[in-house]
Amino acid sequence: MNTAMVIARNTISEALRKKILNAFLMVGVVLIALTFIFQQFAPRQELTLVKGMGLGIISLAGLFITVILCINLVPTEVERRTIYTILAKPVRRYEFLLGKFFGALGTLGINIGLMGLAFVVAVAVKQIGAENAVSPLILFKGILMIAMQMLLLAALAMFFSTFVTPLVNFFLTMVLFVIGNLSSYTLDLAKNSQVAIVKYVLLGVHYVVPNFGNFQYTNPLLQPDVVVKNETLFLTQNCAYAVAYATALMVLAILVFDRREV
Amino acid sequence: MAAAIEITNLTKQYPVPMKREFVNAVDNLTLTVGEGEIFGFLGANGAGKTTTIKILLGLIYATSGDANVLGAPAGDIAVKHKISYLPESPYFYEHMTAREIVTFYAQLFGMHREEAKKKADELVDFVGLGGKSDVNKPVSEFSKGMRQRVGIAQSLINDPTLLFYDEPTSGLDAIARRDIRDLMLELKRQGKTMFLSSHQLEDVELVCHRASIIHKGKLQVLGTMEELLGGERVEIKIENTPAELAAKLSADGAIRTGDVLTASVVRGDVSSVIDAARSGNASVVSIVPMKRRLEDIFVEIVGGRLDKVSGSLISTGDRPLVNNETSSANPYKEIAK
Amino acid sequence: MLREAFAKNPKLAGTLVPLTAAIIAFQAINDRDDMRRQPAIEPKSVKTAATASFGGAGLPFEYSLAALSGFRQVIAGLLWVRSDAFFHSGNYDAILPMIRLITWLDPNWLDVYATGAWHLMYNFTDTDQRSDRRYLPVGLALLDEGIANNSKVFDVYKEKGWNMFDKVRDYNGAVKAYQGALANDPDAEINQVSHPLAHSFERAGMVDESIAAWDDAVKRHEAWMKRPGITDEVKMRNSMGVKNATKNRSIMQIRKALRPTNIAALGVVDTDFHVTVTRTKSKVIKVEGSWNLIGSIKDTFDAGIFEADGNTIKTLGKGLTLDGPVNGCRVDVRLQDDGYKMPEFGSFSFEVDPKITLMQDIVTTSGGRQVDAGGAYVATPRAGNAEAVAESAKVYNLAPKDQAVANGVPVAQALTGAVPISARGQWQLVTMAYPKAFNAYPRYYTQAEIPAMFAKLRGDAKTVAEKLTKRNVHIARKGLYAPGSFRREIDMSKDPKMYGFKNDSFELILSVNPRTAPDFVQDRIGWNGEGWNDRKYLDDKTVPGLRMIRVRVPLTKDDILGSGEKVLFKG
Repeated sequence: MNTAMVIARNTISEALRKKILNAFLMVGVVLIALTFIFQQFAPRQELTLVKGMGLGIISLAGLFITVILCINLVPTEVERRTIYTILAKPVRRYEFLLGKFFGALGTLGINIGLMGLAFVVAVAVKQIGAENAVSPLILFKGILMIAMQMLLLAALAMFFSTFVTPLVNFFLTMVLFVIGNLSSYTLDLAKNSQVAIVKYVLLGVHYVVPNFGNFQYTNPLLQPDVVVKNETLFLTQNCAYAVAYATALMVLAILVFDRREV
Repeated sequence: MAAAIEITNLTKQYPVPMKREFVNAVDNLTLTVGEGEIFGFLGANGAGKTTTIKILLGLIYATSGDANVLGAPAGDIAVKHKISYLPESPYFYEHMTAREIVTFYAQLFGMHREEAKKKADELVDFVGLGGKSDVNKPVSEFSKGMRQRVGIAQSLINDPTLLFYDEPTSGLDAIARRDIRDLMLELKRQGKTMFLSSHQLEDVELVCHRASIIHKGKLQVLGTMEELLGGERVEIKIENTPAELAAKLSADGAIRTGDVLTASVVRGDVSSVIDAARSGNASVVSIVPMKRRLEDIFVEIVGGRLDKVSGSLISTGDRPLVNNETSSANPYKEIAK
Repeated sequence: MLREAFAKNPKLAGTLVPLTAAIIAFQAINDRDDMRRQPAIEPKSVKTAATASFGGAGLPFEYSLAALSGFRQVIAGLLWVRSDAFFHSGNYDAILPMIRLITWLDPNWLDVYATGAWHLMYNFTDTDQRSDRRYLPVGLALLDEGIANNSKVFDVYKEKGWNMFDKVRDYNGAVKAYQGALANDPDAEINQVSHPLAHSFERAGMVDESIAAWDDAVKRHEAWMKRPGITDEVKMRNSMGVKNATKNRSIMQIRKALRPTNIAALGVVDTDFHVTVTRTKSKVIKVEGSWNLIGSIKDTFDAGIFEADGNTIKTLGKGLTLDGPVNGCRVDVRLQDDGYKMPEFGSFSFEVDPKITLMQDIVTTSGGRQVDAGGAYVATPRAGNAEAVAESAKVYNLAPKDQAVANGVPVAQALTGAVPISARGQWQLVTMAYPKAFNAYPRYYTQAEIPAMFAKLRGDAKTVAEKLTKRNVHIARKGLYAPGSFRREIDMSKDPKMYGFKNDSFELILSVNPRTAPDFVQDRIGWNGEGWNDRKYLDDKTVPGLRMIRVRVPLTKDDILGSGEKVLFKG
């Protein structure tokens, strides 16, 4: 596992040197701009817009960083043949794969963390002197959910990257992200479906495709009165879901990659 | 001599895209490399050399047959502590310096960071990249020769007993080639086992104990350098050859030019041929050992041509053919056996 | 490939079984109700709007895609920014579909309902800033949808309450909305919900309920202030709330006690409502008329003295000062398709029937001033208000001068005894001659102070000349009265989209509703018009228990569209 950590560290430093952090800088600028551009709105609306847009932008930036990073990590190693020298060393394939995965997670964590931090600070500054303002720290809950969503998405992209090309992977991951975001709809559709086979197919989709929709926690944060009935359960179970599903995907990825010819 | 590499009936098939057919990249290959041996593995591009090495390293899996490395099945993780691999035109993380790369690879052997760094310094110096101008350069600014040196440095981290070098000198300029050749000779001197894949024939001639030629996935010839290159036959030119001798030699392919018969005879037969000539009052014009170059063998087997400039075999470019193809007649088959 | 891998790594592959079980279990927990936010209610119209949007009718494709991929709030935000731009450029028609999409994308965005309803109910106007009231039911439907989607928070209830109160002037409806907020959201902001609830009760003529609501508001404020960990600001807001609610409760209690007494003492006002309706041009209607209306003056309550419980009045002061102008009391003018009633929309739809014609305007009454014999007034040639210093002493302009002069004498003469000056007249003169500072307390001289001050004024010729004579102050020989009058030309020709006049018959309704009257008018006529009567136009049938003045003028299409001046109604 030490070896995996060496690879993870190397992956992070490579991603950082490839200016992945530039994405964070750009988003940071946008976030700061956000706090100025909605001034024609009433203060509460302005804050709603700033917070909603901010979380959305972090989420969008996270989505693209995750997908672009994760669909390429393993294929790039194969393509530029760096994987040969690594696997010729006493490195187990799963260590290599996990190393890459943890490296991706580290990179994402740093990015989302920095974006989140910048965002919370921007909102805090914006809220100075505001009446009845909700603590900006609760926004970290939303950022945590984004991070968890991206953890799951990263695992999905990594899993596909062990056997499909990056281009196919991009579309596959994106399509599943969309379907996964509609998880509650697939459930509703399944419940309302009269045809048995359609019902079971939809239920299958509902249970098999990762439920990305459930990580959307923007609204309860924007409208502090809009509450999830059991927030602690909601947050912990979402984290547990993301970890469990990501683990399963990585187990599958390891199994596929184990017999993969590089 | 214990076997470092044992390959038995190794076959690797790839499906032909869009067809229900397979091609054999490696076709029923059997060979053994002994410990301490520098073994040349020759073939044109696409002959199956890299495929064989990848199987031996566990990067890909054989369709059938066995491959053992240092007594364990190919890909065994414990064995990987004792071997190393220099791929053809190695690529590294472009943003890193030579030292960082070697440190990274050293850590993959379980070395601690400090230990790894020390090792890296040592090896980077050893391959001649420790100079001030090079040490802080990222690999992306390196020439091909410099990259090759990085590759060699990473291949020496674990002080391996068995090295797989794939085309270590291809694409290098003359000086770089000489340096790398010297390095290989040094390794030879140290008693390492090396599986050297190349189509740079001079290198193989110079460095290897034994060599094999593989073409279209099949082993064509295998032997010591002596066997392959050296004085097996001797060209004898005899004037006024006695009829009995002339008939015998002509049957073996001797050619008559005027009064002179030029015959190629097995070295062991030289004395008896000369004796026969003398006893028949013929005069022996010349006795010349037929010293050949690997190139000749290569050309005969592969049927290709040599690039006059680089001295290496021009790629035939073709992948191994479908498996029912029979190989062309091979005058050296008996040696392979 | 996978089969081989499974076979080679049975242990690792084995972990997939519990992992899959965990994933399915987690997903099943996800589907539980208490893991979800309040489920968004999406009426049929939403589904069609959404479906249509993917066909390209509403939401552009990239927006739809982004919305589907979990960026609903972002898209909603972008659309909201866009609709704000439309609002500022006056492109109101573009806003409605936007609101539809935004509330679909983000059904919990309270501000969109609030602002959307505000746009619908206030900002769709004609050239003369009259609201397009065809959009009222639409706005209410939007608010109802907002309440359905956010039934556990007070915000949208509050918005509906306010719109009912201020725009629709349906006070029972407002009461219902505010009660909904209190019933469903224990954290409802008292100042924004309980206070307007009490006001709504008052306007609905439910006096006891209003007092009870103020009482309840005080209790809620006090309970809130005991909550642990509240900020100073919240504490302050609630203590201000207690103060206001207590004051308002007292006012209600005093009014409850005094209004019937006043009416009994002063008698019923004969409003003698007259109106003439004239078409001056095609689609231009002139409404003019007069009526007698006497209001009370604000801020002249003597404080009531309450029992220890704070609710029962022990003694009352002398009551209200009862006279003064009725400026601000308004006549509602409504022109509509014959028999139009505001429809109730089951679900929000932004399609308003373009055939409906509906115009509502408010005509302000001015005048309505009186002076008793021996009282002071201003006699000038010009109509209108007297100077502030005079009005604040309740000395009003009773133009025209000839009538006014004939019925009174200049103040200097009166002081020499030409006409008797009543006690009230003395108070008026003293107050005007020696005005108290605006922030003095009490604000007016007490009756006890008057004799001495009046004696001083008699001897102060300079002040009389400068403060009174110069301002044409006269003393009335007999009671004088100037009736309230109103006049308004309503031009509906500039907005053919709003006023299509597609029907054949219309009705013009002029009405004065005591419940919408200012409270100083209510002080004279009571909550339900008990204190007034009209020989011709009193209507106590339309709303049982409510005595409105209501004139209905039936009109034909030709009456409105014809050209040239024509008197349509006089009576």
